[in-house]
Amino acid sequence: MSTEDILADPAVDAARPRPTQGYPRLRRLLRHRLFMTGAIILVIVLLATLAADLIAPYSPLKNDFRYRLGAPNAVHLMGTDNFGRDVLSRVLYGGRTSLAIGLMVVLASTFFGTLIGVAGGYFSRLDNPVMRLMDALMAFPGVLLAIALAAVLGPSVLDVVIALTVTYAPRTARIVRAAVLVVRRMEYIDAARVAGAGHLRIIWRHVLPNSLGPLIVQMTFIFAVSILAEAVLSFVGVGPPPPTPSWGNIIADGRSYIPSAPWISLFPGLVIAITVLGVNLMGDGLRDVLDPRLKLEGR
Amino acid sequence: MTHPVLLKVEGLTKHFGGRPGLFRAQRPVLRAVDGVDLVVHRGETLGIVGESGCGKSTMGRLLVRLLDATGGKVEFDGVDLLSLKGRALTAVRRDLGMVFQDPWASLDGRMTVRDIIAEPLDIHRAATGADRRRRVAELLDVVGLPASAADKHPHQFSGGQRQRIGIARALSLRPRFIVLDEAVSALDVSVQAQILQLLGDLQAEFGLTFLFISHNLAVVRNIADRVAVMYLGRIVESGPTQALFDAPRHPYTQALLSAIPVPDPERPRRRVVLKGDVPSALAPPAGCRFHTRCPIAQEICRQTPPVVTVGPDHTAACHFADSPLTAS
Ligand SMILES: Nc1ncnc2c1ncn2[C@@H]1O[C@H](COP(=O)(O)OP(=O)(O)O)[C@@H](O)[C@H]1O
Ligand SMILES: [Mg+2]
Repeated sequence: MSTEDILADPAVDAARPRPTQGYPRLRRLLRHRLFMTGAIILVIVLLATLAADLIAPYSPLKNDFRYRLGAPNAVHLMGTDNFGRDVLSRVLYGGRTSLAIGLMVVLASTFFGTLIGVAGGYFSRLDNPVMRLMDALMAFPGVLLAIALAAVLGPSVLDVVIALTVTYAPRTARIVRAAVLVVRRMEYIDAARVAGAGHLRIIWRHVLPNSLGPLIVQMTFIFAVSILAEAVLSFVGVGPPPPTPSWGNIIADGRSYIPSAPWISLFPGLVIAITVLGVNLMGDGLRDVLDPRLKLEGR
Repeated sequence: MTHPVLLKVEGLTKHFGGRPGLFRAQRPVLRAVDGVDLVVHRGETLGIVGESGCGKSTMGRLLVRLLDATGGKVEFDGVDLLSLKGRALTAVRRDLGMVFQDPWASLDGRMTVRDIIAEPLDIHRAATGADRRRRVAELLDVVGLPASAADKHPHQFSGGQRQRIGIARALSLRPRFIVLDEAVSALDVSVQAQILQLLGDLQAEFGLTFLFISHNLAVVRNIADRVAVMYLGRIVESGPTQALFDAPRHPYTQALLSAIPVPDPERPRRRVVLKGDVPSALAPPAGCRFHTRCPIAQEICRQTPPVVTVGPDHTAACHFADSPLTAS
């Protein structure tokens, strides 16, 4: 080595990550066609569900045996089920259960996933023990774990939420941890520490705001996947209990009649598909805008 | 320099790795800083130079308590800095500042410039409301930025401007001692000159004491009153800038200096070319750390660590610092 390159650039410092800057993304998001399409779909589904009291033509629970298994017609747009209940009304009200489950799972798994991910990513001592536990939970295929948990916990909306949260929070934790590991090494964290900032302040003011991007995308993914998982849980009999409708249990109830009355399962299935599509479009849009290189944790 | 001593460092060490964890195997000990003795006088700029990886940043971080030292003693204005904890440490942090290398990574892009500069004030509850606004405006003025900068985000500024923001933040609690770790290394040469000028002005105005870390000898020569040369976690030579650049006594310093172009052809310098690479800080050589690359190494250098030779405010850790072998 000659003495010319003896004082080459300090590579240790140069290798530090660079932060993302500012808020130019909101405008890009609003101009993102797929994101806006997804957002519109979701808003329509949400409004229809919330306004079920106003727009549902019938009670979702009222049996009317004169019209059992009636095909869709001008009076029952989505037909009737084996108890003569109006499928459209049940789908509108069932959306409340399904979307509420999705929302609660998103909130709970984001809360716990963030807590665990920040703990592991920020405090290196906790990293190994905490993340090994998360790995263990993730060793099971997602829905299978949820089914097993729901079977143990029993059939209720809350138990479904718990089962899905235990299933998806570890995936959120992994994503948050990865983001925190990058943010933690930023010099602005050192600057705060030199000034005397404590861990809580650093996490709250710097680490969390700068780790949000991947988290938001993950939230859309969990929302979509929870709605699907609710249907799967209902299908194997560990979903939200009847008679209160959910999209999942409407489909499950209609499954014996698929040859004769396919509309019972078809319409809630379509609504699930459209809703999940809308949420996924939003997630893709967010990912495009927030971080094109980001990869989602698989199911 | 006859100013009183502000910072006295004795036998400062920082070893990375070593202790095994519950899920982690024992790692080899990396001696990043391994017995540094230093004195920094009030109001001076002490330049720290050395190759990448020799421990400059680690030492700077130890001195502002960003890292916990493995051993040694640091006396800051009569206070035992390394033993401070809790409230006492938080209180002394008001007197310590740091300016970082990377003008991008050192400012949180999610915050406004106002919140960035005021962060130390917020942490110490030193100013709120109108007072806080006034302090931020003052600080922006002091570093040569318009008051309108306060409500913008860092990405709206150039590298040099961002470094000014970082300097304003470091100044916000009016610290007495500031570590500048490669503070101008990421900037264009013309911008470097402006920032160095600003630092000089600030030092004169506020009586600041700087530890100026850089791998760039020309920059250090420009700003430092005294210079310390680091090699493998130790100070090998230190002295007044002029003396050290004109008559370096340690062969390592001579090698560093001979690598930069000589502006004065009247006094051509002997080229000192070093052999081999820097040894690993995982297993530093016995005796004089520099002997594996030293052009004048003798048997004694392999055996005994050199005693620091003291001239008038000039030290060189070399057995032959006084001998004709090194007098170039
Ligand atoms: N947090 C750390 N953990 C382990 N090793 C480190 C850490 N920080 C620095 N080092 C090592 O310590 C040595 C000195 O690094 P550093 O102080 O950054 O040198 P410089 O600033 O002079 O380039 C290098 O070998 C570096 O790899
Ligand atoms: Mg460095």
